[in-house]
Amino acid sequence: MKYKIIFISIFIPFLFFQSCSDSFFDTPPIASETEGSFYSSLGNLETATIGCYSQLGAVRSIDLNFVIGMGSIASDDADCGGSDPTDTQELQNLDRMLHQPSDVTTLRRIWGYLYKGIYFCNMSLKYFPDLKEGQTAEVQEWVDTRIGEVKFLRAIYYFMLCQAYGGVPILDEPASLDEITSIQRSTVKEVYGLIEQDLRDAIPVLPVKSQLDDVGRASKGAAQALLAKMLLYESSYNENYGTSDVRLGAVENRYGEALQYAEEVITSGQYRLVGIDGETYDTYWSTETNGYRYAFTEDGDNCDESVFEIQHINGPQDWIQARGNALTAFTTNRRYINLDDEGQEFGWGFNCPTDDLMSEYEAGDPRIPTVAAQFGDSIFVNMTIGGNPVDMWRPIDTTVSPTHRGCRKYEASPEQYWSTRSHWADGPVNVRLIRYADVILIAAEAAFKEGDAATATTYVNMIRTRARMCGGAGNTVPADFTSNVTWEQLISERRRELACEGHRFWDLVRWGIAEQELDGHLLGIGYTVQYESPKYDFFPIPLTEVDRVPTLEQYDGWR
Amino acid sequence: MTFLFIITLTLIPMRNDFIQTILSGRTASRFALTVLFVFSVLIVSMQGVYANDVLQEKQQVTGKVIDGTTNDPLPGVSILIKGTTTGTITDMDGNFSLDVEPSDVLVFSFIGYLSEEIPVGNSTEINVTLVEDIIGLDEVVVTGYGVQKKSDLTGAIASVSGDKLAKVPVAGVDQALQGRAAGVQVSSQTGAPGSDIVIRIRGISSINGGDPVVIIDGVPSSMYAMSALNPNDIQSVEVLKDASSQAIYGASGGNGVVLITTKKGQEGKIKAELDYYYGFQNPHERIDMMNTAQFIETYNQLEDVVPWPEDTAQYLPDVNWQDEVFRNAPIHNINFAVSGGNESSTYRFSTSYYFQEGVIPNSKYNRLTLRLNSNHRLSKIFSVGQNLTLSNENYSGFLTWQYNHAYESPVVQAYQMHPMITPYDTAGNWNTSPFSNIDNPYVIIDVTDRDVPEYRAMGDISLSADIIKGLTYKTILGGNIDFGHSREFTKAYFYNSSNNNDDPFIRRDHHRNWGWSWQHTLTYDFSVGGLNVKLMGGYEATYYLNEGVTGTRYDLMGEQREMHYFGASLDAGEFILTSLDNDQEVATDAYFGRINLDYKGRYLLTTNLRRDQNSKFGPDQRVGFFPSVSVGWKFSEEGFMKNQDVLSFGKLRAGWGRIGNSNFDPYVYYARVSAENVYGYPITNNNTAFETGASPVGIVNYAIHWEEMEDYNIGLDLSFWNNRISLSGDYFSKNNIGMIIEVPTPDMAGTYQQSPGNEGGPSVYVGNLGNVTNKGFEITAGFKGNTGDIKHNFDFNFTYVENEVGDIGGDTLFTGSSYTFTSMLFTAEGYPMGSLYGYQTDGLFGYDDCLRDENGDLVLDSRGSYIVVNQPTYVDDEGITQYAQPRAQPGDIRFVDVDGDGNITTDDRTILGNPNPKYLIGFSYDLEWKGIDFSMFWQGAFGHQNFLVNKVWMYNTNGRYNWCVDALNAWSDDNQDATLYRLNPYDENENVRLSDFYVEDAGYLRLKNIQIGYTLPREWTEKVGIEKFRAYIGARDLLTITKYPGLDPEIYTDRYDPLTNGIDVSTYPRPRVFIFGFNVIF
Repeated sequence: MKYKIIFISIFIPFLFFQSCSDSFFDTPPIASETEGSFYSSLGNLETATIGCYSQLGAVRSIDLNFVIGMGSIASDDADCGGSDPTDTQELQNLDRMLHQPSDVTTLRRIWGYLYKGIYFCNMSLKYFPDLKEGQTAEVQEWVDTRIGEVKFLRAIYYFMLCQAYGGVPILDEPASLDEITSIQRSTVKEVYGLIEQDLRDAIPVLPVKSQLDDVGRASKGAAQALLAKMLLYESSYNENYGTSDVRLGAVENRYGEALQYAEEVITSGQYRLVGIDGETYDTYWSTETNGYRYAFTEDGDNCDESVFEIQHINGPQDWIQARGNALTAFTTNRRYINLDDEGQEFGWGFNCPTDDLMSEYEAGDPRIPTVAAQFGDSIFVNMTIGGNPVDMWRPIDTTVSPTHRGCRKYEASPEQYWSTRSHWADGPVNVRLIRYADVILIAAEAAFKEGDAATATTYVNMIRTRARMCGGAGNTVPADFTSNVTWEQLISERRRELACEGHRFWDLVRWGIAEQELDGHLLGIGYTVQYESPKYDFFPIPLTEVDRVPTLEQYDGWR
Repeated sequence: MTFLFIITLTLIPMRNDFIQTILSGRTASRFALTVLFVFSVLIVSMQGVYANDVLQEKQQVTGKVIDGTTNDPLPGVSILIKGTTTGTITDMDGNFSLDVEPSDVLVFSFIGYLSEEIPVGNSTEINVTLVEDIIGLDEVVVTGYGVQKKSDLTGAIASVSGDKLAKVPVAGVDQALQGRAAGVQVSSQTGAPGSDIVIRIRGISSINGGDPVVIIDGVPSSMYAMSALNPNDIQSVEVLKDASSQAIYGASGGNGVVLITTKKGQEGKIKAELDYYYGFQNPHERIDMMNTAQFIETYNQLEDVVPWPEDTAQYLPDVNWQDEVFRNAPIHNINFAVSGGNESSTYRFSTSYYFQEGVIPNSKYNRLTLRLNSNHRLSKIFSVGQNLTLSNENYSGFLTWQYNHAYESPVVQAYQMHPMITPYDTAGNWNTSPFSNIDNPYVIIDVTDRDVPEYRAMGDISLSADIIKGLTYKTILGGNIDFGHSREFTKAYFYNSSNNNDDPFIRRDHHRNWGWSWQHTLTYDFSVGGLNVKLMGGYEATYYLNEGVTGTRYDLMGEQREMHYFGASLDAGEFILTSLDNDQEVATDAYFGRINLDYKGRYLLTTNLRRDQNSKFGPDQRVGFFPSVSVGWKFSEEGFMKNQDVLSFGKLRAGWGRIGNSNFDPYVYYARVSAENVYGYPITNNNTAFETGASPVGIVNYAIHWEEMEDYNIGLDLSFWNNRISLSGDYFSKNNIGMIIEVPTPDMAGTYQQSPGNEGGPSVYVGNLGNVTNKGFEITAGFKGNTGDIKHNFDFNFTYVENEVGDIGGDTLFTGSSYTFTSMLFTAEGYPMGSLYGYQTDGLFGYDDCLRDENGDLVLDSRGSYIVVNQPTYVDDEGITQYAQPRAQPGDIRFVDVDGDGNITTDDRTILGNPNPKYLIGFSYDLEWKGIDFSMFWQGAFGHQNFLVNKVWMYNTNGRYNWCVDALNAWSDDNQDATLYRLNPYDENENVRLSDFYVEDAGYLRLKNIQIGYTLPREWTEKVGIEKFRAYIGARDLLTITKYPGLDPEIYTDRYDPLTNGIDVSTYPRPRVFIFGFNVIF
């Protein structure tokens, strides 16, 4: 019977000390990588970087709602348009200054995708520097380039956030939910501090445009141009809002630095205004398309004038995975006249140039046909005749446009888009976020503010020369300024050159003249815009965000 | 002293705050040490018992056992020395003899009789009379890591015998459980062969899924394994329904526990059994669709269509597509089992084959099982046992999910297809409809070529030791492995421009799931004075790993079966094998303990405590404690009840417990990164390709832990007139107080999606924030009696459950979609989970609602339409007054302006119904007379509604699909009293939008099974060596009583997503099945 006791003494401790060790419970995911394993692998550097770029192309975020909705439709450049005054209501709201914090397809979508991009960048920047450890100089340089790109991307995401919403919360590393839900708004100056630092870090490591690995990547010139632009904005804010605006913070006058960075781009030899010598290009429009028109075609994607573009393709993907823009579908003229002399639906007709904009041009300015379509202008469409698809040029019917005009800057041919698209969000034309002409005008504006009107005039005349040369040999309009430009001439040139591309609203605000220009602005549908400063200078933070982050405060007028 | 100490130890933690503070993860080891200490004390105290043990002398007792009613001797009665596994059985004359000690207590037990306990004392002869146990009070019920007498239960446990389960001719045990136990809702997802089964115990308690834990012979298993069992191998199924009984399974018990005990061999003569039945499935339900003449007549009345020449109808074919698609189909089931044993070894082995063809061509299920169970006594102390099942299941043709996607379902296509179209033309090609967008159902029937086999081995080996009297140690090592490799071939075919394939391809999925578990338990039973004590403590570890790959290759060399392999591809392009999505690995372990106290057979107490550890959670959240306590009072045993003979048994029960639910993605707390196209970017601006990007998953909640549920149960068990009538009732309230839901996360966290669910990437933050309650009651009643030679048995059960969602962190959840609608179901505070949601309607507009001029003539607007003025209006942004339904015409639906803003917008959608049945009912009646037996079994569910999405096609507005016959009664100028909207191809009022028009009461009562059998007299069969021969005929799902206009009110429930219930897209209907079969026992 003794063995019973032995049995007990063996089994009981066995039973209760057999507890499993911690490693038994260490069961990391099998079919997906974890943050640590993913980012610590050099092999994933490219994939992670692409992820950071991806939010530039988020469907209907930057392309349609930010660039065109806020930058152009909200300004006096363009009316919203569409099929009727209720088509895409929240886009219409931007046109009429009737937007509300609860608007989700515009305000929340832009906010959400920009911060999503920032989140991807923060995650990459947390891990990328460690990848250099123990690597050859060549690999270290490769990683450094990607770090530079990601910093550029974070800078441009934040810059767009500041344009739209003013001072926003700064998240410069992955944060916990508790940190996010108790975060405060920073001033524009504080956010600019982060942008400036990122760009100053990026400029030395990024290659010049001609040496980029891939056309879509950020270049040294892009970082310099963005920094010049940011410095110009800061200086304008300083000049027009002073240093004590709670939204902006202690913004400084930095026109000199803005000029310096813009001129570094200009003197880099990497860019030129296409068509400035009267040269022409082969596009679907004609074999001799003028430079200004060429700069907005798919053939002109990443051309010599491109500083930084959102890459869009007419890819095979659908909806959320689409990598095209929504602008070709949204902004192409709504109707054309078919062979039966009847109006035929085509594009969706948003972003319609206004009378106010057109009156800014001198008669015969060769840029006009590229900016705006009039009734009867030709458009290349695909039709079905006798059951067969036929591409042909047809007259545009602008009668449904509230301004009786249509925007032409994002048009594409049937072959490039209309007959090949798998989705409306498959527009093939890149969105030109920073165009060389913009950089020249930044330089002109900064030089003017620095008191160097002669240099400013030189730059403005570059723009005018190219415009004139696009009209063909012997064209006289617009003529070069022969005496120093005035401020009014300078900003008028900026408006003409960059019309309907999504610069106007931001310019009006930083120049402090948004209320003056927009209050009482009469829309084509007969609606009179009521604009008040400071309320409408910046868009309100989306309601969901204010609900979820109690420490976020709306600016005056939106509380 | 010892047990008092243990009670104190176990009771203290019942206070929540104590649990959370004192017994937090960090003090877990303290708990383990305490348990160890307790057991050490126990062992020490045991030494005294042990000392007595060796001093006692052996003596022999003999005796006879007889039946209390007939006074006939009872052979095969088991006699055990209480607290040991030592014993014997009576011989053919009811005699026995056994070596015992004077302190022993003998337990006499026999199936169907109340057991007796008799202390030996100085007797050398013990004669016993056993009394028939009519109501089964003495039955032993499996309770999880142990057993208990039914009359001693304090928790809510339902027990169903294997005989009852085997009676219904269905493929699986899971399905057979339907309607058999109060509080247990069982539904098959579709009527298709081998369809997934859903089991919900006392309602749906979490949005994260509700599968109960399945334990087979003590080994943790799964719902899948359950469907692989042969129902004839089942001894009993127990369902643990309340937390006081579930708590022994702790964190996994939250959705209920199903304990399956398989049949074991019995000591005695070898017994062989052969069962066979043949079934004939007849899909008799039809929706009345229009014939060719009716369709053409209706179509020609539509506005602006090119009419069919009226007289063509007689020359056109007239096809009833449902008759084309549904067919009669056979079922075969054969089962063979052998069992037997002697004093030291018992065994049972069996094999079965089940084969069912679907009532839709090209659907098939078959299952082969092999099973071997055996038990062996090695010595007085040690016993070993084993259970093993091998099974192969094979699904061919359509899979369950296809029936739930209208565009893939031949059932839906059969309603849609026009009656003048025949399946094939004379050349054997599929005919197409003149209307686009409908597929000939025979396309998918002919093209689908798929096999999904599943191979499974599961089993366990156990060792038990009777260390000293009353003290037993048992260990079970269980394992299961299953693997499958499906084959899906798509040939080259052309039906129309959107339904074709020009490149034959083969897709194969391979997966394997592997898991093991190891448990140890120590039980000690003893009595002190009038107090009987049962202590149980144990430890269990489990592990499982699921892995798989899937691959597709195009451009095969040929289409024949021999070419369905990857190497047969002529495509030199990239070959990708990817992981299946559900690859996962989970490890758990647990300590648990239970105390059962029984004072004087009247006062009962059970308390459980389990400490669980699970790798699904982060290191700091891995550990959870799950306590429960329940008490019972057998008031019928009290003195004051002795002088009456009406109430033979009465017990009051009450229990409380905390349990968990860990039924969700194991990797929530891991920071994952996925590379996805959505996060790609065309960095090279190349139109045909773009680079894939990476997306981190978002902010991880390291504090995520199990869902915690708190549960109360009060029950009353009564039986009357010598246990002939029994009645049992339970009231329960089950609250999930830490349901895992998405936390509204600021977009700044990087989680924004404009199309949630489609974009992948950073997932929203989840936390233990939700709250759901299920409250209700259950009633079980039974009657057993004889009228002359006739034996009757009647069983009844009824359940009422009310589901209500509590605080879920503010946001409402929308889920559920069909081909036609999205956002159909709504989950918000104060409503049942996944409520039906949409517009309310209020009849149709008529000419009386239209604007008339001063002459009383109807006024037309510039478009030539009537102006419906009797409807709400609002003032728009431009200051213009607008009608809520500006395009409405007479005959269109009037939608209700629920929010009262004068406009009909998405804000006017409201709750339209509840898809979760409130009432469940099941009852059976059995009768035996001489050799004849009769049984029937009814099952029903009530108090719930479905969206009958099929109405979109049945009542379509443009004739692009065939109409149901009821559409003849649509509103028209000649039929202005109609309730069905006008058929108008433009449908400018959007009459077909999701509204209460689609909501149908889905209550039903169904005759699940009816059977009549005859057993040949034994005298005849014995002559040919057959102990029993019974032949029977029967029918399953013969009759359904329902108002539901769809094919089958019992519809699709996504087993993995409880928030998709109630959407009827015309799934595979349940056919009625006629069977005939026989049982032979040798």
